[in-house]
Amino acid sequence: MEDGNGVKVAVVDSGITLTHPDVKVAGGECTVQGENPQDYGPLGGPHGSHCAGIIAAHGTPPAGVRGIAPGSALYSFRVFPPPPPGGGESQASNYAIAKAIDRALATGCDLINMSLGGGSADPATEAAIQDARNAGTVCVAAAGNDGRQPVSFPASDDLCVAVSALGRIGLFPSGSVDTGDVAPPYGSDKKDFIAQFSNIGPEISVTGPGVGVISTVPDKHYAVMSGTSMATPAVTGLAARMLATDPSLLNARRDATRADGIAKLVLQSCKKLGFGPNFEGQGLPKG
Amino acid sequence: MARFIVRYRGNGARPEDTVNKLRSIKGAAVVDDAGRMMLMDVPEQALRSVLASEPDWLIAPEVAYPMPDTRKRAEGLSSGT
Repeated sequence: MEDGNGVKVAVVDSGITLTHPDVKVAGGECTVQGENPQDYGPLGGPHGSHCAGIIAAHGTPPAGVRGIAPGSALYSFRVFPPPPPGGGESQASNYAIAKAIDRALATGCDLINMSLGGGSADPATEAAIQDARNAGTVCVAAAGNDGRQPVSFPASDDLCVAVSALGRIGLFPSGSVDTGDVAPPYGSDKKDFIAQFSNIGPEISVTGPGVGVISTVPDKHYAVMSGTSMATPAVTGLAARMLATDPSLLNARRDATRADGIAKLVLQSCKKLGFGPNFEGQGLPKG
Repeated sequence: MARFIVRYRGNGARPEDTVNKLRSIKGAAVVDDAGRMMLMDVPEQALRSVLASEPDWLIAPEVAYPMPDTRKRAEGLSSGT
């Protein structure tokens, strides 16, 4: 049995590749207004495919990549439309995001990965997150990449597991662009750092690896990306792995107590790395 | 006229009589109906007036979140096949 077996994970993002040999998508929906609900592939770009691979890619290195919980079932909820013709930024509506969270609940997802956000709290997304929590599901959200700025919404919501980005000197080539992400404070192990781009603050729950992360992208390719977007699925994958090993919690009645139990499972597994709570929250989940 | 999200926060199914009131607001159009939640083009004042005595309904303006900023370094390191 593979890590994460029996756990359903929603990736609310730009869609997940449906053709990559390392990634299997169990289902999903596009909630972008005016688009076909069945178009939950990577039409919004490669971001969601990269996140999905970190959680549950089932390839074999070195030819492929393997995610943290390859036995978990991935569900793609696409909330980002295709990039505008001629360039420009794709944006996700809070309606699409809240609807995706609702659909993930209806699908029976245990964890919802949200490597997105920005700005202040939005009541529609807040309500969907709260409804998810009351229905036994936990949202894991990215702190944001604004460079030591306050934690973005929805990660700033106290019902989300908020994730900062951890890096480790020596895991990327010296002189590569990742070198620019190195910044103090350093951890108890001086090779560890919280990435310069990572947002920080008292809302941070945990940290996860988010510098120079290799994962899957459409169509059958791989790419290196950095961001709290990458740290978040690492934590989601660790959460899936832990939940799979706790059948009483996995099969518990879907209510707020179950969700609290899942969050507690993640937080109590953490190892503090010496950065302090504003940078790492409870630390790095052990999974 | 602006675009708003209305979401039912109460227990059980949404009350259809309230939904009918929302649908009948002059000039309003339901852009999407997702069960507990609807996306509407609607005059704000009229919307707030209909839901003023309905504490189980939430009103939120539609807002947009940008695609997260990550730096993609290289593609095609391996075909994986």
